Amino acid sequence: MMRRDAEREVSVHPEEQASLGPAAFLALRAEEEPWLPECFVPPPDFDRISDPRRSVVLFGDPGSGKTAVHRMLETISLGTDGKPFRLLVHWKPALPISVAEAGLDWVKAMVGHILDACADALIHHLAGYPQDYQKAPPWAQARFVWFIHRYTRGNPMLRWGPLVEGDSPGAPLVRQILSGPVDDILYADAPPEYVISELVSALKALEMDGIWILTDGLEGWAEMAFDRLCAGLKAFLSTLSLFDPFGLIYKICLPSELEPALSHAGGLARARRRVEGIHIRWDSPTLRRLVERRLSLAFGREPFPLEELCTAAGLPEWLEKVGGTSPREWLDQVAGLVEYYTTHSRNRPIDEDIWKRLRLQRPPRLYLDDERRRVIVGGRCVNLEDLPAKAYEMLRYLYQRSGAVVTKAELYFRIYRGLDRIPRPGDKEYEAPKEYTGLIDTNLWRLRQAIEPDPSAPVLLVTRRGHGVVLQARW
Amino acid sequence: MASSTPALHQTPDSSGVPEWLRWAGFRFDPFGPLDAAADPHLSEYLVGHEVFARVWGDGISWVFAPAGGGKTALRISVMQTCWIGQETNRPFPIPYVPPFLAWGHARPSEEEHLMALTRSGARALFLAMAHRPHWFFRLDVSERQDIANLFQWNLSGPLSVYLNLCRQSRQISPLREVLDPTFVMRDPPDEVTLQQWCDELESALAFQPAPPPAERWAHLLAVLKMLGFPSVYILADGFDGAPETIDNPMMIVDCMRPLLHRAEKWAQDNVFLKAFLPTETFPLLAEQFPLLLSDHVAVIHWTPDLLAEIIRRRVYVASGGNFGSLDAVASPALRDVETVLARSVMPLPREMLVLTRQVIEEHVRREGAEGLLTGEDVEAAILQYTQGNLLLTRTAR
Repeated sequence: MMRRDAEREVSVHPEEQASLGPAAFLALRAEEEPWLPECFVPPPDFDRISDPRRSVVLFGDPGSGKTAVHRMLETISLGTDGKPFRLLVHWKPALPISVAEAGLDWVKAMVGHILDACADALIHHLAGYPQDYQKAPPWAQARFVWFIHRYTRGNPMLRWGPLVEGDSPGAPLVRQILSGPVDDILYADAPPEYVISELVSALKALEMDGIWILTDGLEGWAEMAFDRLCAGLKAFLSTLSLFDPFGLIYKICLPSELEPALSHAGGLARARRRVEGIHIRWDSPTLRRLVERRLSLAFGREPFPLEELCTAAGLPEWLEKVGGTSPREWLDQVAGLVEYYTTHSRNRPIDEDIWKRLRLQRPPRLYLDDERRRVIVGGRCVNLEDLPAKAYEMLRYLYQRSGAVVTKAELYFRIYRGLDRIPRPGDKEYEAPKEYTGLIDTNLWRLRQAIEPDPSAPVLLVTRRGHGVVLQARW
Repeated sequence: MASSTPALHQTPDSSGVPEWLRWAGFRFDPFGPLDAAADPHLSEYLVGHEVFARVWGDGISWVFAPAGGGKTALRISVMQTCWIGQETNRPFPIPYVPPFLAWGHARPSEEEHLMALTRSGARALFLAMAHRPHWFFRLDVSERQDIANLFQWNLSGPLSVYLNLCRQSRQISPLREVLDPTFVMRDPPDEVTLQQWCDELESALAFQPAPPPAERWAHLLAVLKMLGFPSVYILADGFDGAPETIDNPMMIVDCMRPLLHRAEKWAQDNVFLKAFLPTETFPLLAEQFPLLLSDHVAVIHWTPDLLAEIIRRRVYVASGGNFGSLDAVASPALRDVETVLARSVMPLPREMLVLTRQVIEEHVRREGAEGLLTGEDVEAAILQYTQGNLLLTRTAR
């Protein structure tokens, strides 16, 4: 749908009909960008992340591109014919009920979930490529049938019924697998690592290169149950050595905030050469390439240097400051320019004056996490060390009233004097503006020094002359 | 298998490292598998040190080393030494990694240990016998029946499943992959002999009910004696592979306790426990089982020279003997690359492999998949490695 909209927007340029236009900068969420592989620029450590023989825990902040990397791990597992050459298994761990519960029993249950997910991936693969199954030797076929029947949770016929009912070329095979005889390959008490080795050996007969377990989207869980998630993952990783020889590789994306806890002894620190902890790090040249690749996709022109979008000399430095090391924030800052470029400037480069106006209209996103006393502007965490307590309180007050004009009197009497109303002349608490304007201005200056990418030209904490200030928080 | 050392053309790898290795004249990637258990070439480039001499021989023995310190490599090396030759005149090795996930707990009873040991022994014997069918062919009917029953009772699946795998694949490698990818025995039988063994083994099967675990263990030992093995080595490894034991040496000792109580009695019957354990368990075991630990205790220490030798040996094997040092594929200004790297890593083989691979990755990143390694590659890799370790150390606090 997005692609069709984009095509309509740029249809005035016949040579660009296949391009996406501003839609390429609309969602900025990898899971909503089906065209991502066409413009993916790998982070500098992508080779290590995608090492086919190494389990990896990938840490990243929000917007650092974890999900994009995750999706690309899937893409690079496809052959030129689009067929996966390894079994890709999506798995989300269930949380242990308590930290104390995160022991072998729980890991055993999780391995059961993984085997179920493997059965899911396997039957979908066979349904998609039934000829592979037909070509496989009988011993491998017997293992596929056994694995699907034994490790599918619940009734396989009910679970995979929809695959049977369709008229896809794989439907007869799925029907045959589900209704045919099942040989016992391993007894029920066989260790799961042996189960995996049986499956991997059968996959090899399909010329598939082992199994990748892919895990992403645990951000929400980290917020809700940090301790339990850490305990569970630590427990899980401690058993990795059992699977090492058998070709089961994990690629797990996690929020950065879990890194310290997981790196603690028992987690990655102990298992770190079995499972490598990698933090997604971006450098400015790579991020610029990433933006320009996406511009190419948006406008169907290769290459598409940033200067062709906007000639402002300060733009690269601004992107570095605002975007930091976050691809999403770099793209977000460019998104406003792309929209203007398409709709107003008739695809002529945007000049410095317009850029300055646009950045005021679309300031970097600001997020205040009061619990952790943390402020994030764009892709950068603001240093609050030198900020006086009252200035921080002012910021919090303004944040709670984002988008509304707040007078200096309000800031003074509510924050500094702790009053619940603004006194009028004649009231006991009243003070004339000249008594506090200097104090408030100083703190506003300090705030701007802390949060503004360019304090000399504020875009976040903006003065409305004669009225007060407004915090343009956008998140 | 994905985790096996791949021939350079087999495993898809986007890093460019395989291309460089190929350009440099390597037949396979000798720095890829970080875990000894996942390395099918391990036997070809094991670096011998005096620890091996302490482990080898008829006696209870102990090897203590930190994670990544070469315990598993040594265990596999002992196992592979047992399998040298065509006959049964060497000790029979039972590789014993506790099946924690099958148990679902880390406090196994003696019976659970015996059952798991018997299963491991049966796996090892089945694989060995598939490589040496003449051990079977020379037995009489009743002895053959004993062997067939042993497999039927103790393999992880029905005997016919494994025999069919051999028959249909007409080779032994799929069997090795499912039973033990680290298993190495030279000179496997030809296809006809393998088929004959499968047929004769199957026909010897009497389908008797399985006896209780203790009897099955005794049956395994009796079969091994009948086959002529002079002794049995229980190679115990991986006891820190559970959430409950990974950080808890006391728990490891508790987990081993049933074995330790049996160890002396076993030794009298030529069954010798050889344990490969984390260093932290040493003082606990020495305190609680002083007699067992009175002799044959080895702690693995890795010197820079020994670490450098690990890489040289791997280079030699992977290059098909064409060269024995990375110096051969490094710029003339760079000398004794292995020693430079060995002095920069934590003294553990796994760390040495990580850093060496990082040098190649740095080179590929900077220069592409061709060209000699340079001092800049080495410096950049050491910097990356050091930063990575600092991060881990800092976050681990």
